[in-house]
Amino acid sequence: MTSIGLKPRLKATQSRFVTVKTDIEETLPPQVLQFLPVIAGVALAALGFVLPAHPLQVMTHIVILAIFGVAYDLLFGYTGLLSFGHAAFFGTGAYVSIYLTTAMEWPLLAILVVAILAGVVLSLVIGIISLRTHGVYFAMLTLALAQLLYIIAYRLDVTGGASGLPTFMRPETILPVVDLGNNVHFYLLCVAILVITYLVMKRILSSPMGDVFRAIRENEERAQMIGYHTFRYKLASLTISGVFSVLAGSLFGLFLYFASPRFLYWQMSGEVLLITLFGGAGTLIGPFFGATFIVLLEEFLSPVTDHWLLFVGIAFVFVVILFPKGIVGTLTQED
Amino acid sequence: MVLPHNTLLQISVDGIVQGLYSGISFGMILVLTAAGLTLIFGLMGVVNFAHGELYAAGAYAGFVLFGVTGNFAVAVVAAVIAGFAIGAIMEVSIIRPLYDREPLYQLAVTFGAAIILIELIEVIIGPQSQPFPIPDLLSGSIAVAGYTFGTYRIFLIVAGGILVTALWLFLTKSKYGLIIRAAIFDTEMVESMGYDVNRAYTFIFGLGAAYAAIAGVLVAPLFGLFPEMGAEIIILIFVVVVVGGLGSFKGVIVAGLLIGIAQSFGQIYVPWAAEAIPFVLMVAVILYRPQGLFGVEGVFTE
Repeated sequence: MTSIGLKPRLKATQSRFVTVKTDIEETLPPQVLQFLPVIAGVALAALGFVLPAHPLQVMTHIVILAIFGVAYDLLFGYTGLLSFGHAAFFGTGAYVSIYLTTAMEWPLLAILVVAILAGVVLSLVIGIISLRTHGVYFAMLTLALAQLLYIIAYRLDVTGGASGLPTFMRPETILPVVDLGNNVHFYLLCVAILVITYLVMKRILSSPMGDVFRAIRENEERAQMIGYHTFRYKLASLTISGVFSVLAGSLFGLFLYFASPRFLYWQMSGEVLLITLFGGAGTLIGPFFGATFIVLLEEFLSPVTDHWLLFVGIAFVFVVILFPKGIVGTLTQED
Repeated sequence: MVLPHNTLLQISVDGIVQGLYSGISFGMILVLTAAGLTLIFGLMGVVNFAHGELYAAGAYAGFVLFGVTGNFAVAVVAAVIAGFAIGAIMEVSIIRPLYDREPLYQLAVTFGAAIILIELIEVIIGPQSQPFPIPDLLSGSIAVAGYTFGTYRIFLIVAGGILVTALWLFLTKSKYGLIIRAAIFDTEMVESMGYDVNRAYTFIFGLGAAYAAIAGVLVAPLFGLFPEMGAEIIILIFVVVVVGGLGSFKGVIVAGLLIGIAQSFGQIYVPWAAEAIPFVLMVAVILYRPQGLFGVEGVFTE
C-alpha cells in the first residue's frame, strides 16, 4: 500500500496567512501612539480603585487572559505558528506559583523569577521537539505534548492529582505597602504585568528580530533563502511567548488561589486561540478585546446554562469563517 | 531450581500474548479512526480536530439505537449513518468556506466544531458516562493453544482489518475512488468532464467521519461512553498520524498497531507510565524522522 497523499489543495502563490495589512500604529499619529500603552495602563489601573468587588474580579480575569493572549499573539499572529498546546505554559505557571507559595512560602519576586526560568526550559523542550515540524504537524505535536503534561499533573501527588493544588494565601512582596491578599493590589500587579508584556512585545516586534518573525509568517522558505536560520527564530518566538504565558498562568493560579490540571487541558489552549482570533491575530492589542469577550461570555452565560461552552464553540466557528482578522483587524484594515 | 525458571518464562510468554492481543485489538480502533483522519487530510489537506467527536457521535448514535432495538448490527449501521451525516454537514457548512485559506484556519474551525459537538452530546444524552454491553453473540471467549481470548476483541481485529482493506480497495481499485483521487489532483479537469467535485469532497469528508464513527461504536462495549471520549482519542490519533506520517495509509496501519501494542504492554509491565508511552514513542520518532515513519516529504512540508 502506498501513500494516497496527493497535493494539498493550496495555491502556491497565495500568502501563507490572512494577515492584517495595516498595523494599528499606522492609523494613529506617533505622538499619541508613544504614550498609548501607558495611557491605557493608567486607565485600566484607575478602574481598580472605582470598581466594586465582583466586577474587579472579572476585570482581573480579563487582564490575566489578555497577558496570555498577547503572549500567544507573538507566536500565532506574528510568527504564523499555530500552537494547540499553549495550556502547557499557562498551567505550568499556575502550578509553579501555587507550589512555591504554599510549600516554600517564597516571595512574589522569587516566584516570578522561577516562573520565567520554568518558561524558558519548557519552551526549549517543547520547541526543540515540535519545531522540527511545520504547520498542522506543529499544532498536533504541541497539543500532544501539552496533553502529556496534563496527564502527568493529573497523576502525580506533588501536583495534587485530579483535584489540583490549593493555596490559602498569596505570596508576600518585598514592598511592605503591597498586600496581594487585597484584590485591588493584586489587580494592579496584573495590569502592570500586562503593560510590561505589551511593551516588551512591541519592542521585540519593532526590532530586526520582529521583522524575521513576520518574514517567517509570510513565507518561511523565502526567509531561509535569504539566509535566516528560521529554526532559531521560531524557537526564540516560542520561548518569548512561552515565558509570558507562564507568567500569565502564575498570576491566574494566584488569582484563583488554585492550580488545576484543567489549566493544562486542550480546552485552555483553544481558549487562548479564540481570544487571539476574536480580537485579531497579529494586532497585539486585539487579545485584550478577545479576553474581554470570552470572560464576559462566561460571566453572563454560566449562571444561565451549564453549557455556555456551546456558545464559545459557536462563536469560534463564526469568528474563523466570517472575521478571520478579528475585531481589531477588521476595524483597522484599509480596504 | 528448574520450576521457578519455567514459571517465570510462562509468565512472560503469557504477558506477551496478552499484550499483543489486547494491543492489536485496541490498535485496530486507532487504525480505523486514524484512517478516516488521514483519508480526509491526504485527499483534501484538512486536519479535522473534531474527528474525535465524530468517533464519540458514532458511539452515542449506536448507544441510542442499541437501547431501542437491542441489536448490535443496527447500532453499527446507525453509527455509520450518523457519522457520515455529521461529517457531510460539517464539510458543507464550515469547511467549504475555508478552502482558499491557510490550512491552519480549517484546523481552527474544526476545533470550534469539536467544542460544539461535545456540548451537544452533554445536552442531548447527559454528561455522565454510560455503559454499553458486549453483544451476546460476541461475549464469549475462544481457547487457542492454552490461551483464552475474548471473542469481542477477536471480532474487533477481524472487523478492523476488513474495513481498512475495503477503504483502501475502494480508493485505489474502484472507479469512484479513481474519480475522487483525480478530482483532488486536477479539480478543473475532472469538473470539465462533468463530475461534481464539491460532491466528491463532501463524500470523502463523510466517509472519513463514518470510519471514526464506526470505530467509536466498536470500542463502546470495551470502555463505555462519556462525552469527552472523542477529545481523549483525538490526542492518540494525532500521535498515530504524527508517528506514521499524515496522509500515509501504510503509516496509519503500522503506527496505529504499534501504539496500541506499546500502550498495552505498558499497562502490563509499567502501569504507572502506560499513558505516557505513546507520547514518548512520538517524541522519539519526531527526533529521528520528523516527517513520520512513512511520511511523504512533500505532504509534510505543507
